Amino acid sequence: MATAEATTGSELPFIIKRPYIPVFIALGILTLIEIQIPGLDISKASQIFVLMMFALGKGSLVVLYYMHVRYEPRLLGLVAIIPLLMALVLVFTLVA
Amino acid sequence: MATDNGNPEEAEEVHGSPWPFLVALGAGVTFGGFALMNFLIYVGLAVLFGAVIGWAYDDYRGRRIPRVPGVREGEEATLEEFPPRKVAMWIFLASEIMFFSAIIGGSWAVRSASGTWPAPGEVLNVPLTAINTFILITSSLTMAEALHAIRQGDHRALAMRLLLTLALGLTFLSIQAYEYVRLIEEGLTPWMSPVGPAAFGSTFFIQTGFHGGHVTGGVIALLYVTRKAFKGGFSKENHNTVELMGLYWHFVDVVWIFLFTIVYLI
Repeated sequence: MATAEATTGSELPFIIKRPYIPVFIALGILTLIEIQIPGLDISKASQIFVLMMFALGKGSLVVLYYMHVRYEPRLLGLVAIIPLLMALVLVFTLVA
Repeated sequence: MATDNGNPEEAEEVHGSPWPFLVALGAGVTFGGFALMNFLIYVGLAVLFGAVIGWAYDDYRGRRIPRVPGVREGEEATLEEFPPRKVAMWIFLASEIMFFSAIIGGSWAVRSASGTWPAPGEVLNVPLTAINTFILITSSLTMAEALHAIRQGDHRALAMRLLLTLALGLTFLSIQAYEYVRLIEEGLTPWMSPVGPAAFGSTFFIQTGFHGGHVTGGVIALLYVTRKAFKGGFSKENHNTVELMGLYWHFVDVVWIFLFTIVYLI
């Protein structure tokens, strides 16, 4: 989806137009689908799993494209992922 | 030698700033006050707000830390090439992930220990909050487009998109305030709930309240950044503040995406 736009006489030789609009549309559609899930005739455990997958998907889209983590050094991703893993440990410890 | 109104081209370079340290100190003393003695809360808040005002004032005058050679868009950068403030923002966001995880995890633990819990939509207004979620997602789009605009050197588009982001943030907060008023009228407070255990009210207000506080902080910061943008305070080469503002704003959006699912839909 990315398109390159050339610039001249600048520090920035080119600027990439990131797929902001497609991501926005995807987020809107996912939210619309998501709010239907509590009404589905499936078990509560399945609902929680599906809803968390939707939240994870939407959150990942924002982090990867709007926060540009997809285009940043991988080490930066670790800064976000490590506390997330620690948080998961915390949540499981609290709930267990 | 400071310059007027943060003119990006003539900004003074300084080698370090005490404000981030003082902001952290103020926040730490405030939280310490909650655990130890109330007096420290006021001291901490005074240091925190003083440091925020001092930081904003320095930035507005054009004082800033040296700009590290930027990373060209579309290229994979190494961490060494990162502006120090961007690394600091990411470390701050990492601490925020832990903060919200503790609140959400604690609330989930309380819920797990409770026998009953209201069904989705039984107490909370899911359609209204879905609209509010969409508003916050839209504000993330306008924020991302604002950064793209200044990277192209389009000052007018930057200012207008920041203004739109600000308006959407205020709309989100207004709807949340309206929702709070309605819920309190219907008997949902931090101490009681019309359906299910009282802990439902506590966990609801703690989770959404802390998030709302973060959005409020973001809106205040956006007011400053937008005003500076209208005064031409950013350029194609110097827009680090806009990028950092965007990172914070998107983070708040991500937190809401999870809160909406966990609090309203599960």
